Amino acid sequence: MQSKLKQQKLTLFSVLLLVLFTFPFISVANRAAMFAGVPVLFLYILIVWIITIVVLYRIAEGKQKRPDE
Amino acid sequence: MSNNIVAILSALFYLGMLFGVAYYAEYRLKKGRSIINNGYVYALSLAVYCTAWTYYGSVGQASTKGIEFLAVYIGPTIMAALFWPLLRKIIRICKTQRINSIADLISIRYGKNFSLAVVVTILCMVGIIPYIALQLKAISGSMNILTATAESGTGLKNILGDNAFYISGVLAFFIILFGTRSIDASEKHEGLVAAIAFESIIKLVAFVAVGLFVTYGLFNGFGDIFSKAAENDTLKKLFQFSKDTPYTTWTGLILLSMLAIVFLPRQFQIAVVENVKENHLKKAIWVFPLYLLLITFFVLPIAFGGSLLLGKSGVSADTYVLALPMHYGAGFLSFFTFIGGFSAATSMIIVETIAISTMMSNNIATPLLLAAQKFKPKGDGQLTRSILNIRRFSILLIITLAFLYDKLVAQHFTLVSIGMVSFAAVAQFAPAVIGGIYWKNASQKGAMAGISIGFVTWFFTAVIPSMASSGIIDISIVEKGLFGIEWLKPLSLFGMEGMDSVTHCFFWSMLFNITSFVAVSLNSKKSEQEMYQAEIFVDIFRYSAATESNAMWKGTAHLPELNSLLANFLGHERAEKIIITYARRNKISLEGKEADPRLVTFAEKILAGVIGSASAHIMVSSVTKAEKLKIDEVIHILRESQQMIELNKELKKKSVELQKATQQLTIANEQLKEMDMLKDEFLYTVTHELRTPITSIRAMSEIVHDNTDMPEEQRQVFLGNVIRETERLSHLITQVLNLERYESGRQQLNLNPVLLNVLIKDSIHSLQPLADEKKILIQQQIPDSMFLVRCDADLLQQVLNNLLSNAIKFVEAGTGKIKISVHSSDDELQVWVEDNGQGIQPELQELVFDKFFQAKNQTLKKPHGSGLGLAICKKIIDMHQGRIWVESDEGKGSRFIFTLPNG
Repeated sequence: MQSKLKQQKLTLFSVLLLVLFTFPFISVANRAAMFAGVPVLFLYILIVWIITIVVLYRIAEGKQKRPDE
Repeated sequence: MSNNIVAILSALFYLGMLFGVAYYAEYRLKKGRSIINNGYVYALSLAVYCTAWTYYGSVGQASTKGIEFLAVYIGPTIMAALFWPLLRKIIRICKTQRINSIADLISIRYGKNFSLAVVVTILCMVGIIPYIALQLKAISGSMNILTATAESGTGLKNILGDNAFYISGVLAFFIILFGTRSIDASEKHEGLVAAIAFESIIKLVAFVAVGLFVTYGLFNGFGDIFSKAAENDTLKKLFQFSKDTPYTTWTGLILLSMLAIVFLPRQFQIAVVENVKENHLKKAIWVFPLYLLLITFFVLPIAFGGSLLLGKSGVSADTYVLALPMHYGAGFLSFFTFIGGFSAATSMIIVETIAISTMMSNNIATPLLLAAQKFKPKGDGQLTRSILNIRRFSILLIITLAFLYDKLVAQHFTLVSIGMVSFAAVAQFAPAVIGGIYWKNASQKGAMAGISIGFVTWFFTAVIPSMASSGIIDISIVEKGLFGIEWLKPLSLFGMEGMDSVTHCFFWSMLFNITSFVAVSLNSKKSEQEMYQAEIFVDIFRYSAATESNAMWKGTAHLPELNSLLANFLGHERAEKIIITYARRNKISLEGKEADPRLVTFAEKILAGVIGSASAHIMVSSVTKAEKLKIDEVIHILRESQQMIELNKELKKKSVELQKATQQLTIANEQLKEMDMLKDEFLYTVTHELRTPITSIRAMSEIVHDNTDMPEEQRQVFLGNVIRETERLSHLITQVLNLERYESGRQQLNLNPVLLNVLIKDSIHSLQPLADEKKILIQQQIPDSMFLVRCDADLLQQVLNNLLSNAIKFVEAGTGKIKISVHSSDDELQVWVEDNGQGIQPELQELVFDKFFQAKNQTLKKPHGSGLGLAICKKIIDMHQGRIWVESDEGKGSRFIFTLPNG
């Protein structure tokens, strides 16, 4: 079932997001340094956020091939 | 013209535009071209999440606590991934059950319980009205900055000179106009949603415009702002989590906002009640996080820029968004920014008010009205008008309460604290709702216990401290604990320290809520009604088709009474129309006085849309006599209709299969008929072929027999003919038998690697005498390389012999020339047998491979051989997965080619 597969992918992805956005992962980026003129923590969150949107787009709108058809 | 008047005029002008958008949307709907039936509009309307708190407050927060403000937008982003699994289920449930508020959702799930609906409604009012007040405060605050007047002051002394008063009035008018169009609250508010989506665009564009102005107008891009901030010690600290923002706060805020994005009444209203199609979620899943990213992108630059430029002038950080363009003389941008903030605030007020007013009127006011009247219908549409008026009154009441709260209480708080307190309030619904749709054992008592205890804990740990700090109650309760008990301090319950107040409140209230919800659920008995609802809610995707036409009711009801009940709320005409349509669709007879059980269930659902499920249940019960349904009966009905649907699907599938099988049978039958005919024909030709030699044998034998005095020489000639004819006969029979063997598939291929050169040479050798007899030259052109093929040597030899002897037969004696050659390509070997005989007409080139082709065309030429030779060749080559065909120009000879797979 297409929507079942989508559901599982999205649920899994939300868990991954929770991990990426909270402790201990976020502590890696939690430093005073700047990278490319932007604070590292801000940059980290921004990049993960943009990737999130792209992945969500791919999963939500992507037409998955159905092997049974 | 003074700034003041311009500000008010632009606000009014903007509200006018909202009216325009809303009217246009409703006009389009009437034409059948809905605007809100669109995934992008749905995603934009979800952005009602971003209120004035986002617009002004996040900059304020960022300039004191740094990146912490982002947690409130990352939570919803994570939740967006769960829209499809979680929100889709809630939407499906609400659509099939005609649920129009979160109070309804909870009360219906737990057995249409009245008191639950009331508790949820009250919690929403207590938790959210301050939040609405906050938006009013933001509007009047931003107006004051724009017009550079002092605060209009607290209290109600100068109410008529207060802009917020008029703005509230216009807003209330707008909400009443577009929010109470239809008596059925589960119907969509087309105009409102369109207006909200429009507002989402305005606030985004305005905020991004300010961001660009600050970043590129006042500074030289991001690098510039950040590097200047890095030189400032206070700002540099904001680059990372401060000591005030431990990871617990960050994580707590993310979790809290994950729940808020689903359970805030305005989010529930937009995401669930106003959802047109489930599939719009697919757009919302990625567009909504994108929106959040865009609207928060410039918060940090504006916060740092504001601190750097205005930090010393004493301007509140909450107002940087507006103060920066004003201070630097961007007049038009200032007004646009003000409108952006105004739109953020108004969209929140509009949707939140609609959501809460529906709950209030359905769960508190209407039941009171119905109880007071003892349900005495007073004629057509009377109740409809009363209920609509109740809803209008609720809207006015909410706006008034918010206005009063703003004037009398809210001045003491910052923007953010009230918002987070509201988030924590609605989070209390999460266990009951999520548990309710995934866990069948969740019970009404459990939900009641969880929500009430969560509510009390929330009130104690979040509301009491803020009341104390604003001086409404004695501060000692915060400092010394309730009744002076040390471990009952609202901000460090049971002595727990180390969390900020919001996380502290969230932690304790959810802990108590979930624990009591689960514990009581496991230890309480459930009513039949509850078990039935649990079954439907948890397995909604299995049952959603079944519940539509299903009666979950047993008893006696009179059709006229049911009719008049509906008519009281909908008017006679509409009630009748609805019932007749439903009856026709489900093939229910409306004859007789008894009402079909399905009609009763249906009527209740319709009423639930108007007066809420709890009241609807009571209403319908009052005119019908229900027998108690046993739970196994309930489950039985559900399962049965589910099975019916599945059975139906199965049947359809079967009939399609049957149709296919029939078709195949027909084709097979035709093939059989054809084969039967072919067999007859074959038999006919074979016997015909056999008769010819036999006739001649017989004739010649008779001649010899009858003429005993025949000369020896002549007799020899006749006997020689007899022998030749017999040979031909036996040859023919062998060939027929061979062909039959190949065709029936009984001939097993004896595959071995064979040298093709050797085979060809053998063939030539054995037929050389025949050729010599006719003085025919046989050339061979075979490359030196060895052609090793896997084949059955005997059969292939037969093919070569047949082709070669055919060639010998059909060339002129003396001048005949035959050439055999082998050509090799990557994947196959070709063997060519060429002659210079008379050739074959193009239309016959395929037919020569048919059985008895020659015999059938005896008029063309005198027969040579049986006419089976080529048919046998074709069969053998086919068995080797090769091809055989002939190329020929009439009069110039012909070339027979067969191929064998290489290797």
